[in-house]
Amino acid sequence: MYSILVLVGLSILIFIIARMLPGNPARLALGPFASGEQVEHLSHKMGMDKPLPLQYWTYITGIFHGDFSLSFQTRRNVRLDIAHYLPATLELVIVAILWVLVIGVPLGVLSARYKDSWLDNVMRVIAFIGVAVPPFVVGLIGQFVFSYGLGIFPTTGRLGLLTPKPPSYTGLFLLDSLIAGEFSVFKDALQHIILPSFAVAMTGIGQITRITRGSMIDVLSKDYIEAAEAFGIPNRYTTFKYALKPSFIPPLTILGLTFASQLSNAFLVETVFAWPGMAKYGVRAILRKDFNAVMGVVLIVGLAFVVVNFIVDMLAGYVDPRIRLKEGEG
Amino acid sequence: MKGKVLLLLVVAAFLLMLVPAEGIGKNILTFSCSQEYGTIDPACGTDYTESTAMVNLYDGLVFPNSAGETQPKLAKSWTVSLDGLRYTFKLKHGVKFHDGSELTAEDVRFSMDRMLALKDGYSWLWADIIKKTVVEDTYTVTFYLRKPFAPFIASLPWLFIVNKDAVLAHKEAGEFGEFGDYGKHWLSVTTTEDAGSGPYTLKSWDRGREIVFERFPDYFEGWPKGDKSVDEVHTLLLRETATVKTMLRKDELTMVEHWRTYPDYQEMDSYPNVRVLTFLSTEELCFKLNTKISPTDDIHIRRMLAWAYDYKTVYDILEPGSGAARGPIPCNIPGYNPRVFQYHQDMDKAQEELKLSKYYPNVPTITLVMPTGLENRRKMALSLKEALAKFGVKLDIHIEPWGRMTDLATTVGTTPNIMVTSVASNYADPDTYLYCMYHSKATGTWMSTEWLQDPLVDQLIDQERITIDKEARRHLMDIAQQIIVEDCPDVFVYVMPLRVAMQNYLKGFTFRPIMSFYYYFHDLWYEK
Repeated sequence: MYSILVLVGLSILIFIIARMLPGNPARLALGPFASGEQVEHLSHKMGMDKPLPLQYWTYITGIFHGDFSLSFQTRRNVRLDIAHYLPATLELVIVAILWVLVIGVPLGVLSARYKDSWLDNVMRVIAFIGVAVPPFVVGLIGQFVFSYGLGIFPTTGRLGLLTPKPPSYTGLFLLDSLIAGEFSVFKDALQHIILPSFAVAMTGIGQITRITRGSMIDVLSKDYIEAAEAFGIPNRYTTFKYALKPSFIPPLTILGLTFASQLSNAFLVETVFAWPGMAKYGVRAILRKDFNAVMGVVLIVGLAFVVVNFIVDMLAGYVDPRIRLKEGEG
Repeated sequence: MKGKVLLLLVVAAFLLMLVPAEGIGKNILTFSCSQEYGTIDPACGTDYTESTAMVNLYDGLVFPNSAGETQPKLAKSWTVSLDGLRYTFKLKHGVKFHDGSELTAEDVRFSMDRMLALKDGYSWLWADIIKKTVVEDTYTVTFYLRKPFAPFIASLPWLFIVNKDAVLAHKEAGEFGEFGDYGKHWLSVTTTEDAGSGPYTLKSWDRGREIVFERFPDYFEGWPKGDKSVDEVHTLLLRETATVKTMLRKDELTMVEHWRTYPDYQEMDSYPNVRVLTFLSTEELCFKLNTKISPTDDIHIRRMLAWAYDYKTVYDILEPGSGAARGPIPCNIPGYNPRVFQYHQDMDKAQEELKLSKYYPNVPTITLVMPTGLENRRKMALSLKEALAKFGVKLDIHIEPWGRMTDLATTVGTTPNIMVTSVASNYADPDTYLYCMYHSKATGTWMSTEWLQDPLVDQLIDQERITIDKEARRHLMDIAQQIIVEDCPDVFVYVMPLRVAMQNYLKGFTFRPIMSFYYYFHDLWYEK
């Protein structure tokens, strides 16, 4: 219920802000030589000459029929645009989250386990770099070293120039190519996604390493861990079986938030790698005052936050049963 | 054990990725662009990417050459009635659309009617001009004009002919009676094919990433370079210049469009596999002075600004390769008047003009607005600020988003004293500048923030537009240019250079003085 209220509030807020941005979108869409009549014609067609509350009502009721209104930029329904761009960003962010999980969590665990050792110091420096260096810089360096220098990875795009797209089941090329059994396409898509997804993941890796470390240190000092160690249970069991699960709640929350925020924050990496994603589309929409597109992107990102928060809550209960018990007790 | 197997699998997958892709057998040209293709519909497109698509997928009746003269394309010949109200075109026979059907006069009529009905794209060129289009026979079509329009032929490259049958086969319900929506939703939005006869066909369009054009083997002008011609053009949306440079060095990119900065092209030129071509464009940067608000309503203040400006720094340091601007018309437009007065920096003369001003010595602060993201223009504005500071005149610089600038330009009261913008030609004729910048009917756009509203200039422009005799018309335009320069509604800063970077093996690039007509891929071939 609260989530719906949040989304409605968000839509009203963005609707008003988008229309307060300077510049007449019809004039911008029609180009520099459009006559006043042309501008008027398009403004009328887009309903921009109606009162703001009526415009909002038309927009919001349209959404329930799958009509996100026309984008000034692409001249298509924003629904079509989002359906086109969202899978690319989604795929990028999902792979980035995998990087975060595969690299960030183990680094945090090791860092905590060997607290204040040289290994911990190295991990902390890596985590700090991850947080401090902007992802697009990581992307540019990656391009220069691995693409231009070593020639291992392609520079841009989701697929090579001559690679045919896999049949579209989900829009995620990695998944679609596997479903279709097109392994050469899968390989190509994988080659293309490694650098950009790693660039997107860098900040998350840094954050998760730091948070996992802090959380782990806290749990590792608990009595039951010390008791387990006193009983001679090997370190890897105490760490991964008894300590990791309860200390995973804060990283899990951050992971969820990172996932949702990257849907809109990945635009610089998408720009560097010419990745046809929704984040780039959203930023361009803001710059061109394409307010229907801005609304569409914000609503999707808002929805992603709501859904991801819900999933994180569910997972938190699964990971730490005490949370479920507390709720049950309450 | 399980963990080790998994690790091995991951390593094997990684090694597999290092195996290079298979070689490429076609001549594939990869071309960067800095903005998305909004549409490939020739009745709707306006900007340089959309125009690039139009120029390559469709044909017009005429086509500009590198000198800006209009040459026959689909038209074999044409005649003009003495009163300038009737233009009859004879079409070439046997021109094929991409679906194999023949292009006829009916398609020409349909294309003009569609353009005017949709009121989009370049329709403004002929909206008040065309009375009707009549098909005389299969290969003859006549345009009847409401009033003479001397640059009519020069404007016609923008009329691209669409395949009537293909468009109507995809029409949807709409406001145009039997024509439905004139196939706009299909050709502008959902299409996966084009409806043209141009040298290239639309192969695929991955919006936000790339658009691919494929060579049309049956193109009516043939392929003089045979196998050396470009088979496919992949236009990639690449905003980040660092990425563009990396790709260019690796030969992943064949050609870089003109929209990068001078230092970027300088660097690209230093790559051993790349060369940069520089042309003088038809775009002129002006400091447009609002002639209706204080203090730029005073001609002496305007002249003071023109004398105070440091043009040499622009030519030598900020934009090497640029041309001096003499009046509002760039020198490569046929009809440019080389005899109009040209300002240079002279601080003594600037001071003299200042003293003649009615505002002297308490000149109000002058406001300058320029668009965001253009560093060189900011430097040019700062240079003016520094020059004016010597006279104690304050210049207030505001940097605004483009959308805000177009809004400011809509009324005389909101237009600042100075707007820094550049105007390019729509067709290779001085009229494109004179009308759009100085005619009273064209005020309220970012191109006309001078608010000149001079009845004599209006009269001269109106007259040149209806004068069919070339010499007489040229004389009228010369006078108009002279009066405008004397009135000093602009500081004409420089004619912008157009730079394109390309691989050394790419040959045949031909500059034409109309936007995007130089990205005509039929010109190009590979010499590897």
